[in-house]
Parts: sequence; structure tokens; C-alpha cells
Amino acid sequence: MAKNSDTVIQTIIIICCFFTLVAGFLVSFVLYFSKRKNKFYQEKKEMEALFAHELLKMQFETREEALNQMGEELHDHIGQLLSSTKMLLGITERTLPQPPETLHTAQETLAQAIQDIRALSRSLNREWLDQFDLIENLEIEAARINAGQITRVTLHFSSRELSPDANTQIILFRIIQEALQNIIRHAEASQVSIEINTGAELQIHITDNGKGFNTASATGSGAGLLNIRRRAQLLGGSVQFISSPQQGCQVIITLPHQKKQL
Amino acid sequence: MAITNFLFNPTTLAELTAFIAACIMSTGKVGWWQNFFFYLLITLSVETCVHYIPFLHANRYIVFGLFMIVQAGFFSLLFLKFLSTRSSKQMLFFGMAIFVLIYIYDVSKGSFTKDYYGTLARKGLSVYIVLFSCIYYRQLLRHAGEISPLREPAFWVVTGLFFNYFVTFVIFQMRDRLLLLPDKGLHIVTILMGVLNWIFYGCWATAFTWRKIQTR
Repeated sequence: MAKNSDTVIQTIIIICCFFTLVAGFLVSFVLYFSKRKNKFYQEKKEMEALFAHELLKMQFETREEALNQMGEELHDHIGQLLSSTKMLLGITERTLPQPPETLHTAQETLAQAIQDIRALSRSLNREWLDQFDLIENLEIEAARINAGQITRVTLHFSSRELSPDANTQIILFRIIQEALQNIIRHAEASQVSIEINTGAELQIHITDNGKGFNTASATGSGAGLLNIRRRAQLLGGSVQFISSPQQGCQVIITLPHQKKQL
Repeated sequence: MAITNFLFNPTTLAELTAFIAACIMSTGKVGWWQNFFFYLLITLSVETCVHYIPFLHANRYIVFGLFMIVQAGFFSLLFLKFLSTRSSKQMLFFGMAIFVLIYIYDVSKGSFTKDYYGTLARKGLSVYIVLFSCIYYRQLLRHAGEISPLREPAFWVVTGLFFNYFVTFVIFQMRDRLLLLPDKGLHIVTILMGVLNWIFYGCWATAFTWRKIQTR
């Protein structure tokens, strides 16, 4: 009788274990499948991020290529035409017994235009871009804006040596250029300060004393702001706009050091 | 002696563990999950009363039969909360209606005056819970986007219910044979139920812990 009851207990325990295992198998299947699904979504997300990055990179390269071609065109075609015109004006001036003052002024203006076109062409040249230096170009840009005597741009650097490569520095330059253009076009600012800090991460602060804007309604809507955001995203960085009406604006660009190389 | 027997019963200890976890969880803003505290409080109160009050002990099957309404209602509310599709919710109401019919049938037959675990309503409740647990798992697998079930309180609640009701259903199918077995101090049914209740309330305690972490 005792032996019989032990056999029954053993059978029942085996049956219970079997059904517990069945339940366990079902739950394990759910967990395993969820894990595989999560892995798939993770890979999909990474691929989407990679694709978006590649797309942005391609857009940037296309744009730089177009600018390079435009630079060559300006130098080889427009520059040559202006030089020829200047030469013809010089000949005309020499043939006239009493050349008018306006002719002389026109020649000077033309000379200035040729010089500007050469500078612009040089700034769009691919070889020149490969040796790009952000600080040096910001100083030129600031001097150009300051010459207009409407907006005063001041620069502050914690160091002249920046770790990002030339391509990254070009994009940073384009971001700052875009921000400066926005300030000149819309902010009516008299003072702009550009501060570059190189610490654990590269941080650029562009501060103006203009009329400001409501960040809640403007963020992401304007093409300029969107361009700034997309370019910073391309570098794996972030942009923050701090502004309110009549309170000026501060753009903070944060870039992790060497996180993304183009 | 009776107090220690009751307190150190594996099932009571498992319930107490889950109740303590529910108490800790309820100190935060856990919203709807607060109801677990009340459910476990009722469960413990019913079991304590049945154990200590002779009149209730004598009529324990009726008490458990009445408590089954609370259980079925609460578990239905759980699934109503966890299942997101309209069709599964409709199925839930349909299942609930069938359970009510079975329960009425059992009451009319006077089944709860003689037994609890062997009743058709108890078996029906097991099938009902196992079925909707599977529907919940299906929903989890079809969920679009990333999800980590082990960090989902709902997953642990359903898993606890699923294990308990799936295996107890099998045990109670063999109940007639089990009752014939000699009682050697601790009956095999008590041991099996103790293990299953530890799995059940262990899962629930884990669910409450995750819920507490999520709402911190």
C-alpha cells in the first residue's frame, strides 16, 4: 500500500513538473521572442541613424562640391571678365586727355570687386577647405561684418588649437555663418559675441543683444534654425536656443570631441 | 501552535510576502495598482477568518466560493487593463459571461456546500485565466516596437496567474487520487500548492517592485 502511494506521488510530481515546464517553456518563448524582436528593432534603429547620417553627409558633400564649382566659376569666368573690364577702363583712362573722376572711382571699385571675388573664390576652393582653420576664418568673417559698422562681432577663444578635423571645422563654420546671417537679417542686434570653449566637449556660444524670439514657436520652423540643427546633428552634437522677445538670443552648440568624423 | 501552523504555512508566507511588497509599492503614486493592496488584504483576511473562526471553517467551501467572485472580478479587471485591443476586450466580456453562467450552475447545484476546488466554476476560472494569459502573451509578441517583458509589471502579474492556474488545474484534475494518499505530516497537495503559491506571489512581488521602481 505504502509502495503504491509512493508511486502515485512520484507520478503526480512528474506530471506537475511536466506542466510547470510547459508553462515555463511558453513564458521562455515569449521572453526569447521579445529579445529577438528588441534586437531587430535596435538594429533597425541603428541602420536608420546610419542612413540619416550618410544622407546628411552626402547633402553636405554635394553642397560643398557645388560651392567649389561656384568658386572656380567665379575665379575663372567672372574674375577674368572683371579683370578685362578693369584693363579696358585703364586703357580708356589713358587715352582721354582729362579723364573724369568717376572713371577713376569706377576703376577702384572694380579693383575692390576683383579682390573680393578672389577672396570668395578662395574660400570656396576644395584644396583650401582641406586646410580649413575655424578660428582664422571666424576672424575674417568677423572683420567682414564689423566693416559694415552695423553689427559688432567679438570673438573669445579658450584655445586657438581645435581638435576637430578640417571637415568638422567647416561644418561648424557654416553653422556659425548661418547663425550670424540670422542675426544680421532678423535680430537687429548691435553686438554679437562668439565664444569657443574647448573642454571635455567643444562648446560654442553665439550671443546677441537683438530683439530675440519665442523659442517655443520658432524652434524647428525656420529654415535657418533647422539648418543649424541638422548640421550639428551631422556632427553628433546638439544645439540649444535660449531666447525670448526683446531679450536677445543665445545659441549653444555642443559637440563631443572626436565623436563623429566626416 | 495553531497560530504558528497558519503563519508558517508556505501559502500564507507567500501571500504575506506579496502583501508586504504591495504595501511598499502603495507608498508611491502607483495609481490603479493600489488595488492590489486591497485585493491581497481581502485574500489574507478571508484565509485568516476561515482558519480561526470555527463557523467559517465549517463552511469554508461556501466562503471560498463567495471569494471566487472577488477573484474572478479582480482578475477580469486586470486583463481589461492589460489587454489593449478591442477584440480581446470583447472576448474577455464573453469569457466573463460564460464564467458567470457556470458559477450560477454550480450554485444552483449546491456544489460549494461540498467542495471548492473540484467545482466546475473553479475549473472554468482556471481555463479563463490561462486563455487570457495566452492572449496577453500574444499581444506582447505582436507589440510594435521595443519592449522588455522582464521589466513590465503586467508581464509578472500575468505570468504568476498563468503558472498558478495552469498547474493547479492539472493538480485538481487528479484530486480524487491525491486525497486517497496518506497524510505523512505534510500532505503532497499542501507541498505542491505551497510551491505554486510561492511562484505566483513571487511573480506578483516582482511586479510590485518593478511598478515601484517605474513610479519612483
